[in-house]
Amino acid sequence: MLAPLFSGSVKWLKARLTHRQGLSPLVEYRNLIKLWRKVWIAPHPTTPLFLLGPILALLGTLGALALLPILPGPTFKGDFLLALYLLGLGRFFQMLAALDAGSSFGVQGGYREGMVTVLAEPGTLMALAGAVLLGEGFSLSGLPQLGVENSLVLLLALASLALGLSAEGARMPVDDPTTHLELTMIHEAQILDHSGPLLALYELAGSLKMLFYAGLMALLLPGFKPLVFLGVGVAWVLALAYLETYGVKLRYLRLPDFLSYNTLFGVLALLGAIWRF
Amino acid sequence: MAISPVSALLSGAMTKLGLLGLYQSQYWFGPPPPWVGWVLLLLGLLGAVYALVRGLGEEDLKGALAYSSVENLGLMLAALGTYFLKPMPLLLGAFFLHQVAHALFKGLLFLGAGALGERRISHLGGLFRKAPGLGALALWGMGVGAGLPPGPVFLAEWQLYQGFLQGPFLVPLAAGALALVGALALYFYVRLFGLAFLGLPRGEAALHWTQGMRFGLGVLAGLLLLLALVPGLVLDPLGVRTYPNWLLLILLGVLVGVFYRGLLRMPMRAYSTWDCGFQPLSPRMQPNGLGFAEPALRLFPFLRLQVGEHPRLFSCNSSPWWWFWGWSCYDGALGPGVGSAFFGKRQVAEG
Repeated sequence: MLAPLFSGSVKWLKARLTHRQGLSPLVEYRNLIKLWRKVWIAPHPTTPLFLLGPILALLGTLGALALLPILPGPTFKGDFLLALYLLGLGRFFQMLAALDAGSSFGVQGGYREGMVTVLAEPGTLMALAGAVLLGEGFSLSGLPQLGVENSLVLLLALASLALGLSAEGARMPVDDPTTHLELTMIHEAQILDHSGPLLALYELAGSLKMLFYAGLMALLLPGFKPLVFLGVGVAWVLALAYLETYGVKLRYLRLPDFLSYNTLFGVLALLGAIWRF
Repeated sequence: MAISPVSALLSGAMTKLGLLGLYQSQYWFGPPPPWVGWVLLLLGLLGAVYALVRGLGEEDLKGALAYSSVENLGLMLAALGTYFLKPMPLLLGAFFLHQVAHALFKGLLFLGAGALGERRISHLGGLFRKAPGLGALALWGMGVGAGLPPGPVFLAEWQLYQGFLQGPFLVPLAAGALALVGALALYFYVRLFGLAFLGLPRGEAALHWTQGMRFGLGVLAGLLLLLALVPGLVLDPLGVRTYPNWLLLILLGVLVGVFYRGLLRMPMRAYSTWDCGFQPLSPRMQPNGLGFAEPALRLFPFLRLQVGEHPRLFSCNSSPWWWFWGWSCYDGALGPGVGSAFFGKRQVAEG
């Protein structure tokens, strides 16, 4: 429910930072309702995969969110692996749906997303696994909270999750959510041929995905969970708005350099968890 | 290359015999020394990453599937190696479940590839519209092969992750390699399915999609589904338990069905794909097999891509001093070597 507010607030703050009036932070809700009522367009060469893309992108993200123990939900050994792979399920079908329309943009978006996944996934998973190893029960509900004795591992995990959010949530500096230039877009290129309700599902899935990473970070921080969650959300809105106003998107070929930090943090967090430093 | 049913048999069944022999050897020669476990683990993981990257550049559909077999066998080898280091039932669960699942899904995919008259990926495309049944079966097989939940390969990898993370010494780092394999497998199968079955057709591919094939592939797909619903068939004798995968599978299936039907009922309009308003799209505008894989191939230094009129892929020629100067890789640049830290990068001549 909160997700559209999150991306709406980023848009609003970005507008204010560039001295524009900006739309209200609630604009994303209105946008989703508007899209939901529109006619959707089925390009000629498409197959059922075209519809499965947005559906599974949303369902995979919802499934991953359901495994977060912020709200009462299922919890079991190894649930963090399932959560990350459910996001992967959504990504698989999103990439396929992008290839479905037969446009070269969609395919470009598909392989770029694939490369970002290859770069970002190992680090994020290792960092999360490091944090889980320090906790109890091998699951998200037993995640440890930031304290003195585990500060190194958890700070590394937080940094890695932050990079993971920018990579997998398709935000700056990995991807620019406002660009529609063929040479630069990653996420937008994949959803170019989706319109109306299909686009609404994609937009919702995109903001939910960011909420998932924010939720993971909130789990690692001490305090009353819903409040921490809100705090992390506000911090992300500020960070993303400033970064996307004053920063620039990285050149696509420079992404390996940037995301190698993610892998580095992941390896260090896991090593820290093994040797308990 | 063998005809498709033989490929299916070779990949599905014969390759498992060696693994089974390795597993049985502990009963013939007693518990293996730890170095055997380390060798199997490292060989398995390196082989899995290498095979997937090579497979990403493979133009022949069945060749790519064979590389994927190498990847899956590598993961099983890693599971067995870790089991030799620290006997955990989880790892045996991963080992045997992966074997059964791989035999089924790879048999499905190889037999499905036999229905195509054309095996070059860059000459395929749009097959889903011509044969939706084959497309749906291949999608199920490839989705399972990419290690996506709720498929049985994911269940095996899920156990392998946990086994790695509870392993001795530095074994938990192998979880990172497994995540890399997972991400590469996703890329790999999106490439295979997307280029062969989706998009605009790149050529007139002949199809031999018969009633008998439909039945055979259907049986294999059904067995895979059964394995995803009841992984206990393999895991119960080993005393391993998983999360309720059947619940996830049914929940996802029902929700996808509801959304799908709902979206089809909403107002829609058929139109052409967005082409920037210039000339209409042609199939030649879609990236081909190597083009789709290029960003990933660029990341791995042991391969070189030759672009131009006849793009092709070949392994890097590295001198015996690669560990000192770094190995030669994409565009003649050098990967990091021990010596390059002190003497800077050395440029090598093209060619």
